[in-house]
Amino acid sequence: MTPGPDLVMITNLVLNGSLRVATAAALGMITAGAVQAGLGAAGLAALLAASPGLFAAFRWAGAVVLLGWAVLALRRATGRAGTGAPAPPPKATVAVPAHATGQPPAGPLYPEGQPATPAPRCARPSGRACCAPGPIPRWASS
Amino acid sequence: MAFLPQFVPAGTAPEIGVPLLAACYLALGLLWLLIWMRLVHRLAPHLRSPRVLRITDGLTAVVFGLFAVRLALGG
Repeated sequence: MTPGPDLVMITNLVLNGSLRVATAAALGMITAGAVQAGLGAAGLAALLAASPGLFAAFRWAGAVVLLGWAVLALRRATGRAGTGAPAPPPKATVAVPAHATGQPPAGPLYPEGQPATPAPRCARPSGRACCAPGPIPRWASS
Repeated sequence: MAFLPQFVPAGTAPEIGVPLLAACYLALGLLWLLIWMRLVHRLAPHLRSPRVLRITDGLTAVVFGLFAVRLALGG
């Protein structure tokens, strides 16, 4: 709940992707937390503590994943700086983190009341379409 | 998750108390993320300028990079 990678990523996904993608990512984060708690209860933490090599491998794998996302975001930031194009190109960059968090593609897993609000906002004549800001990844609509 | 057991009330069995607290914690976390998403989404028309997008992308890169280094160094 404290400001951290979760919050930064959600913010980024809402701005670069859509509310759908961000919702899926949020659900994936919470699911991951539940899985983590379950694994901790099952004794995985004790197993990792017992074998330092396994723990180090686990740690480095996590670090590589985080670093990959950092590089993706950096490339997006610098790429945008170079061209100055107003439309964000979120095709590949958005798809990767959402997949990597482990949740299924955003299809029918809406929690509650999701479809009610975005529709009128899209229909708003002023401003740009805020629900579908650009090319949405193909898997998001399937 | 590791900090939860200390908040289980003294009389309660930990097998019941910890999962209950974990569920509350995760539910609050989800609620908070959904509220934050709505907020950002509402402000998105103002935030979606190339400059702000560049800043958020840069911030994402910095935060994820720092956490990667921290994790690699022993987390």
